[in-house]
Amino acid sequence: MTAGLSAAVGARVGELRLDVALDALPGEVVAVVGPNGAGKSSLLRALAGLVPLCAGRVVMGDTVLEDAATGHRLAPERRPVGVAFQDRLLFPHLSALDNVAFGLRCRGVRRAEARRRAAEWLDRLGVGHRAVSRPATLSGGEAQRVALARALAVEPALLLLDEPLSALDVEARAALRRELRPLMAGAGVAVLVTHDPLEAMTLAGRLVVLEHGRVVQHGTPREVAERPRSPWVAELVGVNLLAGQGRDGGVELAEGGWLAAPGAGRGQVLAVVHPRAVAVHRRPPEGSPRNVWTGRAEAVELLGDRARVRVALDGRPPLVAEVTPAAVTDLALDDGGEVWVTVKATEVRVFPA
Amino acid sequence: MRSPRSALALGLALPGAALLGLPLVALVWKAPWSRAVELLAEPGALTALRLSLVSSMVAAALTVVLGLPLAWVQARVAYRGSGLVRALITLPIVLPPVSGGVALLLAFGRRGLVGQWLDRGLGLGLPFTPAGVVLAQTFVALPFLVLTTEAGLRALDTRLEHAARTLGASRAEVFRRVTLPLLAPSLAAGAALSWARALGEFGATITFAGNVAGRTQTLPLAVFLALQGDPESAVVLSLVLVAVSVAVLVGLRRHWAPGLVR
Repeated sequence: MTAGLSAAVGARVGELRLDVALDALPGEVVAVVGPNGAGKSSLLRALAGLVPLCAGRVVMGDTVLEDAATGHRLAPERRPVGVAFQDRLLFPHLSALDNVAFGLRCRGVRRAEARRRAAEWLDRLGVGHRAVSRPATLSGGEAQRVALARALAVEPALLLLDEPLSALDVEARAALRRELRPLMAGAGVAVLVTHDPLEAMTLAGRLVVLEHGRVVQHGTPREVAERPRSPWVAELVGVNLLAGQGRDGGVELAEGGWLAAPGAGRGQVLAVVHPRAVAVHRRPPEGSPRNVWTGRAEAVELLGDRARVRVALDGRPPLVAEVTPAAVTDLALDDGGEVWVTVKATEVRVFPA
Repeated sequence: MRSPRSALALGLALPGAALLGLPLVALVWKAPWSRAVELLAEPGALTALRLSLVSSMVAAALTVVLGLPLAWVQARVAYRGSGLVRALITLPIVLPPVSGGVALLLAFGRRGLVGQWLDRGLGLGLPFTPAGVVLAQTFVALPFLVLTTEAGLRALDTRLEHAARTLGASRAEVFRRVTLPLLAPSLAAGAALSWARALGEFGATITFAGNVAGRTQTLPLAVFLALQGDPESAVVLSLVLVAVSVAVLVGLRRHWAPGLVR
């Protein structure tokens, strides 16, 4: 199947107004990321036909799935989709095998053939041995794999995955993430909803960032990581994002203060400061760094051989600094006392907002 | 060791339990066990038992046919007057069955609102016929089926039905392959409760269908009649009804007392 997706989704879901354009080339994997309540799951439900559009249209290849202007609307069961739901939603009264065979049976495949193909999918996802089990007896990881097999078994042109790894522990998540890549590559277009940056960056060729029902940014993982356009994206990719007005040699920060950065343009700009470019001291630093601020260390998070320290600054937006775990102890960073923060001006990247 | 306070509570709870338990004990205690088989084998008793079993099962089946769509609408459709219909559904539970029987006569009797058309137009006379027995039993039993099934439908996760649609199931297929199997326990419980209610029905039956031996005389009516002539027979027939009720309760214990069942 080599159909691409072209969707403009306008829908109302409770309080949320969804207004999203989403296009994907045949074979492409698009990750939809964003904070809770941004409308990611609603977007998937709209594509699947479970939420009616009030504006826009959804086209898959040559087939118009839905067009709000003409009122044309293909029922969910007539769309070439496969959905893996966040809560899995396996049918509790059917065995794992019959759950996976369900879609094939509904699409007219005879029972024996449907079961044979369902068994193959269970094998492919490593849960062939649980074929006769009821969903209630499956572990979280097994249930997730059965749910994926069920979505994949109908060989959908449009594969919709809603947080497919969220309910798993770290190890199971890593294992399934590796297996997911070739499985998604076999599908036509895959849309993956996730809040996990690693999942989005490793599985998808393109990211769409959703906030309050709208796209705030889209691009390749690299583009998004280098030029985050919202604080949420910045946090997602682990960098500090500061908005402000560009002046000669620096940025007048919107939340107060001056950030020296050579080569900053004029007008509305966004400044990206990587936590590695932020240093933390217990005494006023020597020499003449241009960006020196005082504040208090608020939170310390250990990430393997590195530590991230969130520093609340006096009269400025907070910054995240990356230090060594040894520095956390040596500087007693978690005592909440006053600290000095320096940012190397040459490591600040500024781009137009 | 129990505390004095819980001993007091137990003491206060005893009369209530005794009121519920003593009649049953008396029934079993005083039953003429030696004559039981002989009394049961009497043609009148057997006829009444057969009529009761057949009519109550037909009534239970009818409650499923009539009650499932009603339960569906109450659980799934938001419409004006839903509260009124809910009251209507609950009414037969609180209504004195005799009044129900009178109301049925006024509606389906030979000169009733609808009955006159059935009688004249189709030659269908319901009162004082076995069909009338079934109608009276269905009337009093329907609430149990509807309320149980409606609760089951409300507890059902509709997202499972959405998942089925994305897998290619039409609305009808979703109902057959997902909704109905998930609803089956509630539906079975409701049918069993309504069957038990139909089996024990007295007031509406005697008012609407009369007490014609071999035709509309069900087991509860036979018990009442026997009490005046042959009390021992009444006791044995009552025991049969008690045994059936207990069997239903035991069969459904997962529904009325899930906490007591492991």
